[in-house]
Amino acid sequence: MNVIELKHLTKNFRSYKKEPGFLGGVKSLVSRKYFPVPAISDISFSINEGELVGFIGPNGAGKTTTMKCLSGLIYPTSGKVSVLGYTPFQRKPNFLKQISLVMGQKNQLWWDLPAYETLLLNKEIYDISDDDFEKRVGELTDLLDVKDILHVQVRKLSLGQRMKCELMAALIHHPKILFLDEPTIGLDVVVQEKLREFIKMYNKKYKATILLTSHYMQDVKELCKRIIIIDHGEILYDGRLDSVVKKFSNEKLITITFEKEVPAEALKPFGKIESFEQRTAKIIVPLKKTKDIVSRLLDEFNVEDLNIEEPEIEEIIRNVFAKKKV
Amino acid sequence: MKYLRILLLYSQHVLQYRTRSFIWFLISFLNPFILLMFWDGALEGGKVINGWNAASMQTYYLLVIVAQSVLITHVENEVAVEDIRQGNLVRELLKPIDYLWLKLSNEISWRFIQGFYGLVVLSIFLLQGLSVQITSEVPMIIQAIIIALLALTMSFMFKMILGILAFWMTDIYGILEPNDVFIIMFSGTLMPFDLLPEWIRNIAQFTPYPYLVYYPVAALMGRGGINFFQVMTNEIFWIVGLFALYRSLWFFGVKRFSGVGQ
Ligand SMILES: Nc1ncnc2c1ncn2[C@@H]1O[C@H](COP(=O)(O)OP(=O)(O)OP(=O)(O)O)[C@@H](O)[C@H]1O
Ligand SMILES: [Mg+2]
Repeated sequence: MNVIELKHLTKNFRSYKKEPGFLGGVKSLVSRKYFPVPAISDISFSINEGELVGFIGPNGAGKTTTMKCLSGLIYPTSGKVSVLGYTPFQRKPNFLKQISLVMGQKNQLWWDLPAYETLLLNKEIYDISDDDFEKRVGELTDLLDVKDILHVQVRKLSLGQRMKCELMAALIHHPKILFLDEPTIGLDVVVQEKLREFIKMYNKKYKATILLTSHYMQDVKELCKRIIIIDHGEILYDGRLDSVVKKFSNEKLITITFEKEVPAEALKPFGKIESFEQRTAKIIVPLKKTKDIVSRLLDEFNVEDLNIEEPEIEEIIRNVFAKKKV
Repeated sequence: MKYLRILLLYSQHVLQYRTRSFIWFLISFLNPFILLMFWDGALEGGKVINGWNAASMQTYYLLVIVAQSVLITHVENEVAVEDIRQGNLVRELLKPIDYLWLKLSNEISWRFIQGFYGLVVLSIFLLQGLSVQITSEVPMIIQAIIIALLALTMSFMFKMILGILAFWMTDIYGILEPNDVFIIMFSGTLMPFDLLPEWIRNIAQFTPYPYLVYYPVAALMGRGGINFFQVMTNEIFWIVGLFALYRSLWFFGVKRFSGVGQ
């Protein structure tokens, strides 16, 4: 069953040009020329119940804008949005009670009170019974490991601790649909890993549908079977992560360490040099020529170590952007 | 019950800012306090202007200190600047509860603290020997309380409307600052409304301003020459009109919200 459906969604923001300088400012008081800034243009996709989909793209691609349309915060310029059968922008209480939007950059917690107070507020706002509340707080506290910090003023918490409390506040009403906009931004690898485990668990245990954006490929790799790639407000790819990996894996990545330093010039003929630091180089070579190139490398240089692998996802996605439509 | 519990949680939050709140109180307190001293001198020796003598003027300004702290809401800045312009509205819109109610809970909490400060200051003045002469008739007191509650609602709705004008305007201060001046001039905090020049009164009586402070205080003092039943009816009309206006402005305005800065 599709719980999220987007059809030909377009959102233009209004912006106006201010001519530079004082005169420009005065002029803009009198007549202000507005022009539309397209943030997303005609995108369509649908997501099934229980899916965990990665939504990726460079800065300004339109990811946050899409999520805002899906959670009913902004009014689409055109197109149809349906989430759990509701039109998000109407913001019916029954719709809002089943979704949650978490933004890594912004928080809903009361800054000068302990996070627990925000949880209490949400308990009232979302009509959560005392029993459910106790149970959920207990469960989330264990899973996120936040026992000692729930009663500390939020502004005294570290970014990672705050994010955990943030997630807790966003999940206390057990939303069926979760929009996670860069939930791991700025967190250290250990906390990132912990949050990933948690997101995976939440998705499984509650059959929650999750749309996740992240600039950290590790998040996408570990969590999402399906990805949607967006750039300049248009969808470039929508499908399985492993097939896009396969599609762009007609290349191999050779990591080679030489016994002595060699000039970068000497490596040029072998393939595209990804990086070259001290005595270690990463070279991307066509799949079919891999064997050939490896034996030539071994012939020509004194090699200390050599490793052949598939290119990183980051590299693949960069390829997708470079070639536009997949 | 649910709304009461939400209100209590908001109060707890607002209490975190009690010091800041006290400073705000002191700033707004200064104005009637200075005027109180001015009139004390001006009406010395039994002078009477338009039915106001030194004692009733003293009562008036002492009550204004409490009334303006309890009745004048300050929600517009938060709505326009923090919520709409800086985008905090995002988190309120996600909640399955009306924005208007959330703001009202928050606002009532502020009025409680400010009103508390107002009463403390009033008690200090009374201990210093100043006096307040309010009406002694119970029905009049009840009537004054109703007028005050309606005034509070009016002030809240009026300021919510000013706040959400920020959906259309990038520079909302162009409206908020003149409004603050009008409040000082026409709401009765500067002087009793009936002492203003007639042509100003003729205009201002068709605005919400005199209802904010002047009428509630006058009602509690039981001033003669005012049809308080008419005041109440007008207040109700104002509230209904403002509410309808708020709803329609909100309906169109929120479509323009872009969640900037989030
Ligand atoms: N409130 C707004 N007003 C005007 N333009 C906006 C607004 N929000 C976003 N935009 C523009 O819309 C486009 C898409 O922005 P969006 O925030 O959706 O990108 P994103 O994919 O989330 O990027 P990032 O990875 O940096 O978070 C950008 O060009 C941005 O400048
Ligand atoms: Mg974004």
